[in-house]
Amino acid sequence: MRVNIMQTTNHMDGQKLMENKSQNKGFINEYMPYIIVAGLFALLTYWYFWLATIADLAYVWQYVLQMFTLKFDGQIIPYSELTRLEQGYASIFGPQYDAIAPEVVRAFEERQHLLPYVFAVEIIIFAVMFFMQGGRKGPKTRQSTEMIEVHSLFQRIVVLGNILIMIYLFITGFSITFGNITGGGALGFFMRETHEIIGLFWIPVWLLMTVIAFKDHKHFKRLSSKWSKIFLKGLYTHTQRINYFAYVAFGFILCFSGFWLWFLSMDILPHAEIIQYRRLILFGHFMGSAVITFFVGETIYSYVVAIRGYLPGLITGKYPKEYLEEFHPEVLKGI
Amino acid sequence: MSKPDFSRMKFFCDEKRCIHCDGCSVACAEAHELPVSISRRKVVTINEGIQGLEFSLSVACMHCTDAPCEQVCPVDCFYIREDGIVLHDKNKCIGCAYCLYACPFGAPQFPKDGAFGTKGVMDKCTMCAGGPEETNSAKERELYGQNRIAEGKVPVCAAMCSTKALLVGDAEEVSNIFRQRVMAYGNAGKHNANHQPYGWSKAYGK
Repeated sequence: MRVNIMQTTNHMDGQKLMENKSQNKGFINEYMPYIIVAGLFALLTYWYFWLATIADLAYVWQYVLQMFTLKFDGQIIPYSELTRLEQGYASIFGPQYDAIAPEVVRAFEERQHLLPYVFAVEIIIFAVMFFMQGGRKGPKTRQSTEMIEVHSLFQRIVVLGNILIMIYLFITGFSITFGNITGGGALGFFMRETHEIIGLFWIPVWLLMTVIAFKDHKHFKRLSSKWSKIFLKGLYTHTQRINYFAYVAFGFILCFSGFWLWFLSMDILPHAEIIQYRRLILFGHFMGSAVITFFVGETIYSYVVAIRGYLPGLITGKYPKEYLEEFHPEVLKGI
Repeated sequence: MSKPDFSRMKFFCDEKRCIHCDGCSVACAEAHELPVSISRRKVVTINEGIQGLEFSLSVACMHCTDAPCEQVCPVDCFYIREDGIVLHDKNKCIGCAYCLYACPFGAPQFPKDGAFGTKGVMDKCTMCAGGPEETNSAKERELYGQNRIAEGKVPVCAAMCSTKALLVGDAEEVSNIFRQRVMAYGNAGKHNANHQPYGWSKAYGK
């Protein structure tokens, strides 16, 4: 009898295990893009911080923790414990020059030469994806009897504004990074100056794009119908969602660091108290700009390169029903 | 004593002699007609009010041998003269401020005269050696201030220093004078055991 009970229990456990396994398989299948991107990011982070960085990471980590106590000067060792010479240095020139500054110097010495290779690799990745899917996909029919509104007027203004601003920020940002090609001068100065000003205008646009990025989240779905008129409903695919999340995350780094880089140029604090913070956020700005380019590239690729996009829809907000059924069924499903 | 070849022109401020009179920074601002927001030279007092530990230093571009500002500048607007003076071309500078992040001494200065509080082109101590424009031309004077070096004079800040705390000249000569002073202090100085020249290892090369 005991044996039978054991057998029955084992049988039930086996069934549960099978169900769990199939559930796990379903989870992995469903979230595969997220898992792959997270894995690649873990590798990239390992390479970047543990293999390629020459900054004093132990110091940087302590400094980041110290900032949570609202202390931003970067003086990790208490001032009273420094030698007289070290106190002098910290008071006039800021703390530990050798902790972050060499990284900034190295980043700029190498950036101008290595960044084109990074972009070349990105383009190769997109080209491989393009050929693996068998070239560009076009809609089976361009005739349509029914147009469906996907973007409200407000959304269109925000998205188009975001596209134009980002194009300008990319061009002007590269004009600074690749200043060895432009050679500086009045035009280079104008581009750097407007990079800062347009960057400030990007902050509210980025915030609104963040709302659009999360519009299919359950908290936004619960909101009133007035909300739905401003941000029309619609679901995202996993790839689109990853691109949006990356846009939000790295856009935040760029907006945050960019704002401080601009604001601190007004000399609101003595040099020694703020220089280390400036170096740290500049380094964050470099990193954010390098990573966001990949996801922006992926967005452009998936919307207009891999498939023949319907660009008039970006202006009118309306897309042919057949086009949506073929390429963006998730949008129809959401509406 | 060998004749100096003036191949490595350097500043050095002896904090034991500096009395924070601000003569150097005022002379600099007057001589070069600098706008209010630019301080090519600053005098800083450390441990203010703490008896025995208070001292002052005159701070400006140290004209580093291995200048990090020159290394990070994306438009290569910096150039180092044969005598070691680090200068920059304001017509090339785009005001990105990367030199400020790389400088160990906080020397680069930026006027805040752009739209929305954006920065203008960088300004810094030229060791009174002007810029890439024609020597002693009106344009050079307007952009960079006086070119006293071309006239055979020492920089105005050092010339003005009443206690001779601020030294300028060939690195070898400056270090000789400093060494003689330290020897002369003997054990009388309170902080001699700790005494090292500020900025020496970075500005004078390691």
